[in-house]
Amino acid sequence: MSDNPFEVTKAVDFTDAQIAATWVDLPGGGFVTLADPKSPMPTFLVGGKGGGRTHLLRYFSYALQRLRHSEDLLAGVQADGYLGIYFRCEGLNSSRFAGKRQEAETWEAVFSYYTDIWLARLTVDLIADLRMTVPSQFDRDDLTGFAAAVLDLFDVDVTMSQDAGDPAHDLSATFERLQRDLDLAINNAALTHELDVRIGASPGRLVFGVPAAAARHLPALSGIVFAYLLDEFENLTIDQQRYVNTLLREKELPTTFLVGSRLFGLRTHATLSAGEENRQGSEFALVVLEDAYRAQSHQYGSFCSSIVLRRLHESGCEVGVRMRLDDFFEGPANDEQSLEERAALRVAEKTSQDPGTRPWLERLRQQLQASDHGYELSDVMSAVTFPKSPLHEKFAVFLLYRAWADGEELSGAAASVRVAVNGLLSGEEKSGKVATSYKHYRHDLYAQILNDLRLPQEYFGFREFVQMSGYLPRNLLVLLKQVTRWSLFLGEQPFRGDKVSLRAQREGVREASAWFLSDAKGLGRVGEETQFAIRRLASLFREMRFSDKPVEVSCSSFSTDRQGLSPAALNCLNEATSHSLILEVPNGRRDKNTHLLNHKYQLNPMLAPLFDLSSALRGSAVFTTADLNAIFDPAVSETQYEAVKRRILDRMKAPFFAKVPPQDAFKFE
Amino acid sequence: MDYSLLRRTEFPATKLSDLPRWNVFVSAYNKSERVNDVFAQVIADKKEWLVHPEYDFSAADLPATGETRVMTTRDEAEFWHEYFLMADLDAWPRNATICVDSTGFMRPHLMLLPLLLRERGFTRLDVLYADPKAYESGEKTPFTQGAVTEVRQVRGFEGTHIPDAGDNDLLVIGAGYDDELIRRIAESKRAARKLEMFGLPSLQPHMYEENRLQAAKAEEALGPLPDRSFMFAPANDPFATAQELHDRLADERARGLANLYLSPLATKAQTLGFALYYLCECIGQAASMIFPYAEFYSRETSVGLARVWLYELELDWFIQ
Repeated sequence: MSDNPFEVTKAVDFTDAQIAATWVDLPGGGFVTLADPKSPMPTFLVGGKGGGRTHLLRYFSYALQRLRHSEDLLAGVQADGYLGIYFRCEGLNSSRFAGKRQEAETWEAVFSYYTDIWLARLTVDLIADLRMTVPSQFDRDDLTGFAAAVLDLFDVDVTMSQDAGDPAHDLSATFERLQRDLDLAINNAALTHELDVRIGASPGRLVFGVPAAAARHLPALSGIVFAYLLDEFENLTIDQQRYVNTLLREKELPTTFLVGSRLFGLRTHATLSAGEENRQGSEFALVVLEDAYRAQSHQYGSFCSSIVLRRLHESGCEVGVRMRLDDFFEGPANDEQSLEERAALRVAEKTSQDPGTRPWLERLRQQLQASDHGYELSDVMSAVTFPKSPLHEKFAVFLLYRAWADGEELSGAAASVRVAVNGLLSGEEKSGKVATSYKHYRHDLYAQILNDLRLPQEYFGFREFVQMSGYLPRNLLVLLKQVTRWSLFLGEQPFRGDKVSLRAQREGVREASAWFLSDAKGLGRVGEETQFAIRRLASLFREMRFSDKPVEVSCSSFSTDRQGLSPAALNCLNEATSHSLILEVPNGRRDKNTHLLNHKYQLNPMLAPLFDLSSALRGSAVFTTADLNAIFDPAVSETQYEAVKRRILDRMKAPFFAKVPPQDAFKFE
Repeated sequence: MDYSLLRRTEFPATKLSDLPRWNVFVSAYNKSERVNDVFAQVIADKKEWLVHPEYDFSAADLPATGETRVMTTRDEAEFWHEYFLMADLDAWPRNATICVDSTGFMRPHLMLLPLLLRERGFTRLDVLYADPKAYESGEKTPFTQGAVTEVRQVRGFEGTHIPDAGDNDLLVIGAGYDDELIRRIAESKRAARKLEMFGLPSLQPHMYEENRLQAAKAEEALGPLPDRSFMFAPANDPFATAQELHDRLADERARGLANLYLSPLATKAQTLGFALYYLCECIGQAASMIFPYAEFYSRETSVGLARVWLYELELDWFIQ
């Protein structure tokens, strides 16, 4: 066992036994309330990478049923009420079914037949395995009847293989032969330009016919639902998905489907059934795992805790049921230490050589001198200086910038600021406007202090990691993997006596963040362009956060009605959303003026450390259509983008020349 | 299978005049010194440049010497069908001596050529590979330009696979400098156990380290790699590469191997080695060659020409 309990972050890297061992159900009703393999309603289980789809589908699979019911497999399956026929669409190598100088319609027919053979083979293999495991429950005559019924499903004569002397295994060998013949014909078409395939059964007949024949001829499987668990649906092309959609639409009992797909992978709900489109709630149910987690965010936290505790337990770490995971991670020197005390400590450490020098005061001084406020310099500077509490001092400077931006007379404003901040320090001001403002901005102001002192931003603690995961448990595991690696590298014994140091946490989250950005990149040029747009957006949020007068608290989100966005910008925004680089916040945000409900988007909090942002969802930026086009439209040049960025930031930087947002700088067709 | 029986000859950069003379010599044009030097010095009755669309050359960029064929298709099978038609391959004597310089070719195209020539009755193909002195920007050299658009099986190397083999699928990656390609290929077969093959000895002493550093960037996509997950073969020896695959995969098959996927992403010599292994031992099996296809490739990635290798392929020996 590795020293790092989080070395494996993907369900595909687990064996069946490990899937069983690391399984954690969702608090409350469990995953079965989201996706039930017995449900007659076909269900799409979609989400970002690492949401837990594969773990869940494999948990429902026959291989896991075997492990769970090792003592009496058949009784276990009967109690479950279903047989989980799991497969990854990737295994079809779907790109073979295109080109090679064949018509699209030809490939459509060949793919349909190949998929039917593939699914039927999986089902027959599973029944053969069940027969071998519990031979007493399967009468030979019943199996012979089953095999004959399956062969009857073909429109052509299919000779049954007679190698094994057992009907189930002979049937299995027959399907293997049929598939092999198809493979050779499909593969050779690239070289010969000929596709010598004879379609032996009408579409769907085998997919539904084999389970029906099993239910009819094999008493042990009577009443059992055959659940096809299709994972990695995104690997199929739009035409191929259309065929699977047709199977969902034409579904016949005792068959059902659970289909796992990435968000971007659901390319169509169209079918081959006279062009009909499947409708959610009618032909299929749709579960977005992240939305389900987000809807019960408190339960998501405890779900994550359970996953991590299970991992730690499996790797031999001593963990109690009531263990607080935050206890494994070092926090500030003293857990009770306030943000104000931490700020004072950081400033003292960094400016010990020259205690009077604080970068924000120096910057303010220069800005005042450079503008026409030089005559007020002395009054203003002394009013905003609070050497004993750098965080309050930062707040005083922030309030002064606000007044400056509003065109107030600065000496008077500075005097008012001093009174207000003194009120905060003395405790007289606890619930007023100033106190509320301080409460909102203090974390950003602390981040600014760190930035001004050229100190790294602080990300620590299990709760913060859960927040950063963006409702994708795999992100949490990658974070913990990198943090644990750093901890081990620094000579610590994480989860085995030592607390994980702040440095290990900081370095680990940064690496995990960089990994996330590159890992979430989609295929093709749009993937590259989206990465570029995300860098623009995140860098802009960073500059806003560290500006003189940030207008929003911990800004990492924006809202838009999407009207007026160029097609390329929309495409890029959709790509970012479907690859979880940006999360769409359910229910959106109501526009302050029009009261219309807009889309609200949050930069994935996994990216926060890479761009020195807050991982919390707080403030939302107000971007114009032109701003968003400049960020997301790849046709917008760097020069044009820089102009837009400067216009946005000028409102937040002294001397605050741009008070009113101008009209759209660029027009898009 | 003993691949060491196949012949490999080294020619220093100063001794290219010692290379044999061929009836036909074909090279894929790009801006690298090593590709152009070899083309200039090879003696053949007919010398042709093939221009891959992936290099995105304009008419003004095309070479001034030699016959130039600007290819229009990216699909490797169609590429060769197009060329064979242009060059009237059917009229070539089956004992014609043919040589290709593999250095500038796209990898899938290179892999497919021996199979297509064998199917058309040719029994011999000579392949050259030119070692560079260095890559242009060390480990940061961009070999692919633009995005990976598709990961798929290479034409002619598509196997007959077993449904849902789960833990027993194996992906062997010939790990090159381009971590994005490694990541894409690993992601395409997420469930497969992964082995990485590195070029060792590398083309130049410093290149092995650069290679490992780059490949490490794809570690999250690769998943946990135990010590036994690494293989090594000389970066410029296709026969040693094929032998290493043969030896290691014999062990893997003995332990129970369902689906095998191979993906050579390093040197063209390694690519050729993967292709030879597949053509000798994997045709008709649950084994495929897979490749991450990128939109464009860099026209110039290397500096200088260190030496040239000649690999003599007896096509009827390894494609039965």
